[in-house]
Amino acid sequence: MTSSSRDLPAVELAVTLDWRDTAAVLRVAGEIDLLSAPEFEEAVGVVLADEPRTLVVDLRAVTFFCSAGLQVLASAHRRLPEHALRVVSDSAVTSGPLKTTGLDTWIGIHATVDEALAQ
Amino acid sequence: MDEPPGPFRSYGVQAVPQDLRRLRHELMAWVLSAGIDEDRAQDIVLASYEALANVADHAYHGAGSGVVDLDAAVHRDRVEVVISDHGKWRIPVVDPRPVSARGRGLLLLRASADRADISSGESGTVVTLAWDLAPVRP
Repeated sequence: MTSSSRDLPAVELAVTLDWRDTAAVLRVAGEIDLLSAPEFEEAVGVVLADEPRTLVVDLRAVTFFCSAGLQVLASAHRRLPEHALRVVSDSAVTSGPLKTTGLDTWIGIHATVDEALAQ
Repeated sequence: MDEPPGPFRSYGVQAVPQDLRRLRHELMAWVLSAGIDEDRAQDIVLASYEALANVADHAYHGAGSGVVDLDAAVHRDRVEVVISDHGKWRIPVVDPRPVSARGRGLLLLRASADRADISSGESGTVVTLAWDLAPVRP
């Protein structure tokens, strides 16, 4: 298993990317709202350009999450194979909007990165 | 809760990302100061923010003035947040795909509030959100 971690350029959010073989693990910290969603979208776009087989988005350090963030995840889901996009969440702040809107049917929610990768 | 706090008012806010984030932070601070538990506070702030984001969205598309007013108050049995603007809301374009990219804001807004009323008239749109508070034990 290879793993190299690097920070992606970001101002509003702290974004870190890790590769585990063909899986990309994107860790995001901060508030994902109208101000920062474009940055979140850009970070996801950079990762998708490298064609990961699986994309795990770790939202555990996200303190606000709304439809602007859901929109980025829904777009990413459509660019990946089925069930290739997974989210790590341990709080209703991030899991709530995914469940309320039914997106969790397509985007699995996991408690840890390892659990998300094991799927 | 002992004494309910005074109402929170913020008028003439520009519906742009930076200002709406600041308003959200102010609303959260007020809600928490009212002694409302954190889960409910997050619902209140999320629904309110979705309403504000919709104002920003339609202002961006040339409908409305892009200025928004917010009133929040704690009543004996409920919290109410009223968000008013001076434009007409865009009718969401229906995206038939199962995982459409857009259009989840109103869904989140309605799901996060105990009651949500959206009324649009000639002078603008008023969103009234309400949450019931647990009855105070005697």
